Amino acid sequence: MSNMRIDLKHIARVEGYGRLVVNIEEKKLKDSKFMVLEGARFFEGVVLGKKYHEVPIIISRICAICSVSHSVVSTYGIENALGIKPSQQTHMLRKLLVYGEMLESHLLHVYYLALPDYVRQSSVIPLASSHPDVVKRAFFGHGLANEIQRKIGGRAVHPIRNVVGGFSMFPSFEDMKMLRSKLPQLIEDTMETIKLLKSLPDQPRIAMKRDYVAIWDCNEYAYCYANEITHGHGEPFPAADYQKYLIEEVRPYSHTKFSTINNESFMVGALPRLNLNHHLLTNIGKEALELSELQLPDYDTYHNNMAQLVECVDCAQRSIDILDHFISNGFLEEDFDFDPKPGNGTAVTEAPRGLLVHQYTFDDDLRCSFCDVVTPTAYNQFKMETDCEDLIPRIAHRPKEDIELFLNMLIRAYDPCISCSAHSIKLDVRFQ
Amino acid sequence: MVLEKPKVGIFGLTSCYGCQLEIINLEEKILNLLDFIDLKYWRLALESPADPTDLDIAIIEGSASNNEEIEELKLIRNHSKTVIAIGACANLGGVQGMRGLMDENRVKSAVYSDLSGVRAIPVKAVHEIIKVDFQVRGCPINPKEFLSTVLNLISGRQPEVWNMPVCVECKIRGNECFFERSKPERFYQTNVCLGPISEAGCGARCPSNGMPCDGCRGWTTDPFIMQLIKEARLRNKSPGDIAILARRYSGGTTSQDEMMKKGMNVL
Repeated sequence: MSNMRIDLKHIARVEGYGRLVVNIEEKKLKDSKFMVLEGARFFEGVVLGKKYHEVPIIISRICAICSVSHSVVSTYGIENALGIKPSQQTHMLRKLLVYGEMLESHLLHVYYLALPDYVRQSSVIPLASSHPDVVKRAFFGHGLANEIQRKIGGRAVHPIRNVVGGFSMFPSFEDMKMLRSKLPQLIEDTMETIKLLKSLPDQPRIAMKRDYVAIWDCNEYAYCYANEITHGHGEPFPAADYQKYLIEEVRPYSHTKFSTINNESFMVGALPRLNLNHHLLTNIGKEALELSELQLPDYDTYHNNMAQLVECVDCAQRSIDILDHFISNGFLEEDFDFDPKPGNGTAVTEAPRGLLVHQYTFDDDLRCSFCDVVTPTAYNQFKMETDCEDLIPRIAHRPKEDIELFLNMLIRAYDPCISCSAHSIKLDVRFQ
Repeated sequence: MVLEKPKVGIFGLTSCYGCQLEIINLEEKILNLLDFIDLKYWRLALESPADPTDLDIAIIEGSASNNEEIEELKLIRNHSKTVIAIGACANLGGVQGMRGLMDENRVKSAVYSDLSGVRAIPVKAVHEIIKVDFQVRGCPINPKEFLSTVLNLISGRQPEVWNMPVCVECKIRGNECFFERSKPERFYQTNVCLGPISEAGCGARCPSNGMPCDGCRGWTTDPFIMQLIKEARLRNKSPGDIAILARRYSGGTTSQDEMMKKGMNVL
């Protein structure tokens, strides 16, 4: 059997409706296509004509699991367009919200979506009996991360309090103390899970040396908003130039759009961030990195799961630092006395699964007249396909079930958010 | 006597997956729920069969926005005794339904330069396609309300229905009313609170977090729509703005068309 067609029709345990088709000839990859089958939702069109303060509420509905990222980057983008300068306090609260989302999304992905593959189970449910301590850590960590989002943002999914100009309400001291007291346990638990993931036998590997991209701030590990974007094989560039460097093009043999940097596919997400920012981790984050035994820069997509765990430790520590600050200093009441002006603005941030860009223009009536959103899964889509070139020759000798499993694991390792990518243009609407 | 557990499937159509995420956010309570149900189908969390067969309860998130999804809904209905629609998309169309209230070509051409290949159809709430037996409202759903609906259903009770506006819950929470604030405060000028027309059950979630209600649970049975439209006019909202605001989540259903028209005629 030298030719094989693998069709993962509706990939389970990812957010959204995606399909991967791989054709193998003579143990080599002939072609691979990753397809997005989610219904189109036209968000960039739906926000047209809306007043600036309505836009973040609508646009966060692009995606539930990245709803904090969409909310935060849209408020920054709109503030940039309208000439509004948010306060230091607002920056800190938004960071805390983003750390909460990183934790929630990464832990959901590692424990509920990815880990079942690594221990060869069909879901997290059988894990409750085979690995009860792991499932206990999952419920505790994921639940606590959701509590951060509820107490800071007002809700676990689609935050309410983060609005253009600042926050509509501040968390109570009791809530902040509660979160502060539980976070050290989350760090300890995550270290245990790093040890577990490292120890699991017979895992797939790839080493596709492609570029990796993330937002960039030379002073800190940027999870939430920065002025620049950087990449492993080159220099940082201004965020507003994203379309100049990260090229999207249609190719005649495929319906999907391809994102490239220097004519090659690239990756965004936890592993790229860690590759670029590891020297800026908190001390405990560095301990987690050492424990993980990742050798950076790491080109193995499967290691994205481990990178997520390292980031969890780092984000938990950063949350503790911000909570400590507010517990001792309290909040300053802010007035929302700004004077918005029409204009154009871009903001970039890191969603848990990678670089997220929002760009807006507002007209004289402060209504949205242009909107562009580029999601991490749209950037990663081409890389998902090109990874197969490296993976298939390594596993082509194995039974079909193994090949299917490793391909499923590859797609899941990106932690793709297909409902995100299907919000608009990156969606191929024609293929069948 | 051993009772067979009801067979349950959870399905996602076009949506942000937030309602399914809120189900996952129940954490260990999901495991408790699994003592009472046999979860056959849930792609977000389990390897699942290609198609649903022989279900007692189908739980559906999302709205239909292409022909495949309409076919999928019919298939689910044919294989399920009871259908629960969860979230604003499934019950009202969701925010993506707004394009049905806007200039459709303007919306689509903002996203696609070439419209010839776009296979999207007007957004439809689930009840516009198939019979829906029960609703869990909200964008996203309140996970506790979801759990109590399912538990009521499998133990043979009728799930709760509120039939009252969000204002009732807001008063119980002791929030200061957005309409009664004496001087312009945060966000007061920029928005109109939809509490008077929206169905309760969320615990007045947005007003309790410093933001006005934006109606994600849809209209209550007897909405104070005329008063709301008058209040909005007093705050210099144009008729177009009022229509879009009052129907931010409900562009995928025709059930509010008539009352909206009547209200707008009063202006």
